Amino acid sequence: MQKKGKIEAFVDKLPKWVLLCNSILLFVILWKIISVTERGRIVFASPDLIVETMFNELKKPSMWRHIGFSLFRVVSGYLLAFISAIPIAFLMGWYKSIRSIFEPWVQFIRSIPPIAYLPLVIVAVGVGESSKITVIFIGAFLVMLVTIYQGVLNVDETLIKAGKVLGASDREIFFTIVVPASLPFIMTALRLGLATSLTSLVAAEMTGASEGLGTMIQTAGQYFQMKVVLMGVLIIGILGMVLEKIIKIIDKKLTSWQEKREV
Amino acid sequence: MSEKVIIKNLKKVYSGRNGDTIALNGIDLTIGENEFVSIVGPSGCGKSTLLNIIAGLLEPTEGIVICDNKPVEGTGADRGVVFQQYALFPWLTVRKNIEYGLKIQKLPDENSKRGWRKLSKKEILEICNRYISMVQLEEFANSYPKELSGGMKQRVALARAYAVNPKILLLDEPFGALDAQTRTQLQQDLLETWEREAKTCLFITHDIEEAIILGNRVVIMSARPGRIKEIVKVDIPYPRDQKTKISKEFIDIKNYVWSQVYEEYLSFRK
Ligand SMILES: Nc1ncnc2c1ncn2[C@@H]1O[C@H](COP(=O)(O)OP(=O)(O)OP(=O)(O)O)[C@@H](O)[C@H]1O
Ligand SMILES: [Mg+2]
Repeated sequence: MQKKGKIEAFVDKLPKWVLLCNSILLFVILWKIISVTERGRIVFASPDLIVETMFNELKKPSMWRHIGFSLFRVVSGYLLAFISAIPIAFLMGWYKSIRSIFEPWVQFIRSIPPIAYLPLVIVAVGVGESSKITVIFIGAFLVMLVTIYQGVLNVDETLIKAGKVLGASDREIFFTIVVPASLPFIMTALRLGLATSLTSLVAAEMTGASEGLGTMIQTAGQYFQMKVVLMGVLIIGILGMVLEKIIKIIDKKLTSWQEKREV
Repeated sequence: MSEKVIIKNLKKVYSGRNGDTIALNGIDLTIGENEFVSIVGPSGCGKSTLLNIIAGLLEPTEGIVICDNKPVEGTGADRGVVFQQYALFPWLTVRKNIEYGLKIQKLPDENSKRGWRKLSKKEILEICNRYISMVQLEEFANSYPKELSGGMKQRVALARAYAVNPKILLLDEPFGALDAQTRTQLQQDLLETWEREAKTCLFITHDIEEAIILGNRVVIMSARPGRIKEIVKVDIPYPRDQKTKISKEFIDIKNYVWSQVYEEYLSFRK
């Protein structure tokens, strides 16, 4: 290991939760400072006000309906995307013919922001729940597809050779080597897909909805209620963190065999 | 000694963007049953290519390989391979790695309608235990490859190859990445196992001492395009051990092989 300074050595010894609390504390202080300045006040309501608003709002059923609808849309779009990405990604990784047909389109559509094709989705599936789920689905699906098939493509050739010389058939190689070897990429796909789903949530709710965190933020924005906007943003962030944590726990269980760089 | 592997007029051409590479050109070699043949030669002379063709992982451009009177077509359980990069399945424990080949193995069985059967759980366990203790990894049976040292990993790879009981074992620089001490230890282990369990071995190495201490014969290959330059017989009786390396016969053979390999190296540089 390289020689580190005194601060680094000290930080190395601290438990994780202390570091986290420290980070949160620092930012809350910064936030508070900004919120008392002349210009900062317009955008950032003070943290204690936000916390107060959040507690009050969370007592109301309307707030929970916003959260519930958004969560439902994100989770269903995301899970649908995952379930459909898995088989297609494996086919694309395994068969060059299939890859050569799909790959250019996947790369093409992937670079288009969801807001751009929003009207098309609305015309295609209507303004109901399905349009929101579709928008989330498209983004998450493409990200997961690309990540997983790159993983399948990158399966170590020598492992496949090792399987062959031990007598494995193509089918056995696929299920006992290619699939487990791609698992770390599947987990990465799950995390990237989640981030994309949350990103497209706000766009998805632009298709016109009476409930949802994105809708809440947009409406509040129009009335210049920055504390509600900020609260909505925070709640989406917290949702993301919780979901990410769940994926991390699953990841740890499934891919603990992996050689990882110690951090 | 009966003939186990016959290689006839083997040629391999790789075609790539920069034109064709002739990796092997006119290789003829016969390996006897239970013989141990080492191969040395300059880097890039086609040693791995030859081994992969015998294993059935690559197809030759011309010529054929015959194992047990049958031409080689694809991989087969009669030929085991140990790779330099260990090639252990990282998601499986040591025990599960060794079991891998046993679980998919199909044994001929007349009583079964399909004509074959799989090994029972009990049989797999027994065989697996035997090879885990052969490579002295009892304590690590439930560890994952990432928890093992290089030498231990290669011992697992050896056990995994041995467990399915191939008659021919192909080893491509298996000890190349190991330190001198571990290397010596594994050479010794390999020699002992080879003497105990009859097998035909083809062993690729860069290390001339290693080639001689292990082999009945040492095949010296010439630089690209790969041909066989010379085959040196090692008339030193087994069991051999590290002391053999200081005997006069050994040193004479070593000097000779070395001069031949060096000559190849010089001609390649021109
Ligand atoms: N897949 C491939 N495509 C094109 N050329 C190849 C391929 N594999 C090997 N070669 C070429 O064939 C020649 C022989 O390669 P090979 O790997 O068999 O050599 P080697 O004797 O095993 O070398 P080393 O001792 O370094 O392992 C080399 O010149 C190499 O560049
Ligand atoms: Mg090689």
